Amino acid sequence: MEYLMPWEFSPLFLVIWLLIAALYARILLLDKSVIKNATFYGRIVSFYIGWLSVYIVWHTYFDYLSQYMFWVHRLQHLVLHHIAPLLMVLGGVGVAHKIREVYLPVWRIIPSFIRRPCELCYELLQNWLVAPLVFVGLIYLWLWPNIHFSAMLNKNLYFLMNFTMLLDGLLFWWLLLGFGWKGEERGFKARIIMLLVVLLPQQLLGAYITFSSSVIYDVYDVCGRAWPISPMADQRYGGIVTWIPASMMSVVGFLLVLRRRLNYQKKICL
Amino acid sequence: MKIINGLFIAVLAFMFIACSEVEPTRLTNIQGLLPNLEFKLTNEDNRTVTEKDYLGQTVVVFFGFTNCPDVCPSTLHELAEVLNKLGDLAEQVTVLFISVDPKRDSLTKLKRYTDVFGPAFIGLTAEGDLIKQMSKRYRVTFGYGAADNSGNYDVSHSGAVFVFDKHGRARLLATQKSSVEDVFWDLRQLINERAT
Repeated sequence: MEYLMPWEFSPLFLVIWLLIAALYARILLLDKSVIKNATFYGRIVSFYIGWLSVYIVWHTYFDYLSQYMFWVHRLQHLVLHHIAPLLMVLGGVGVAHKIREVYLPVWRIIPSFIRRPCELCYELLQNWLVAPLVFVGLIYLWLWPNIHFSAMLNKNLYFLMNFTMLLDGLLFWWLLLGFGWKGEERGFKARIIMLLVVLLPQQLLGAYITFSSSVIYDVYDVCGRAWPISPMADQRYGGIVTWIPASMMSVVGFLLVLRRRLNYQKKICL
Repeated sequence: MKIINGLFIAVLAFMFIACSEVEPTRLTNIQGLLPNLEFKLTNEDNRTVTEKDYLGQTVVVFFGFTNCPDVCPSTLHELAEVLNKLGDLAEQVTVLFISVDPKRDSLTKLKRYTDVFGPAFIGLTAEGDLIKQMSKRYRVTFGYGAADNSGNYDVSHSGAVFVFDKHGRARLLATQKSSVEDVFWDLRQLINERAT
């Protein structure tokens, strides 16, 4: 039970996260036309596994471990930035048209001086050249030794770090697998390029951390570690998590983009 | 005349900006990163103390335990050396040694331990999870190893030394790698800092 309690209770996160689960459930209930087959249930499972895993790494004892162990922190970001957003997007793609139909009028009620800047930001972040750079850029930014040090010491910065990682993860995977493909041909190429752009820098960074001969992130020495482990071992494991599973996610991305391509071609042939 | 006036204002403005800039520190500057000093603990004389009792003093905080074989004694020795170097200024410094092992660190044991390093060193402890709350506030942690046959166990804890100014604001962070010279330099600068 103790392990399920949040290490740092965040009402803001809790409200946002419960709201997202509720809004998704509402869409499912509203969409009466949908055929309830395996794909339908698969989507729900995918969405809620993603949703739940974000909750676990953010709002349970896992968060404590992430603050006091570098490799657990890397694992937390792997979930927040790669795995969970991908699962949630996979769950959301099928009902995306419905989400737009239901929530777009609500969104339009917001005064334009708030709405327009948000829309412009969204458009910029959904640009296929900008998105991969932001995706990799954020990983580099929060792992920059000085910035990482401050983020682990300051509560607000720490929240901002996790929040931006999660938000960017959702935006990136949504761009990659969502319905906004402007022309199937061009969209396919752009998405392959995006995946290539994010792949290499992550591998380089992961390898650099893994093979570094000195301690790069001393904040874990300063704050103490969750359990006794040598700083170099901690760093090496963290480097490997940044390097291998993160690149594997690009491979998963490739497969999903290819599957979409095949489905599209099948449709044309018919 | 106008030009001279303009120049004069420009020079003044420059001086103002230069003065308001943060002085570079040798230790890690944590101003604005960590919250102000705040606690309610029991001191080695069995009196409840809070941060208000130390307002006006430059406060150095270290989390440790008296059975600690290496990090704690060496850190406290180095701090004692710094205070020694500070001379009269040392009167304006209090070192709070917060026990992360309240089970074994009795008040008498704490007092005997801190007295070795000098009168500026004060041991603090608490019952329950007050210490955990205090350490959490400064984003440090500690943990206990498994006990051996004679009941001894190891304690993993932070090696950081936090420095708070006279107003209780978090200012500096020294690590195990920081030299006595650097701690002395920054502490002197902080004590001599004019009230803002």
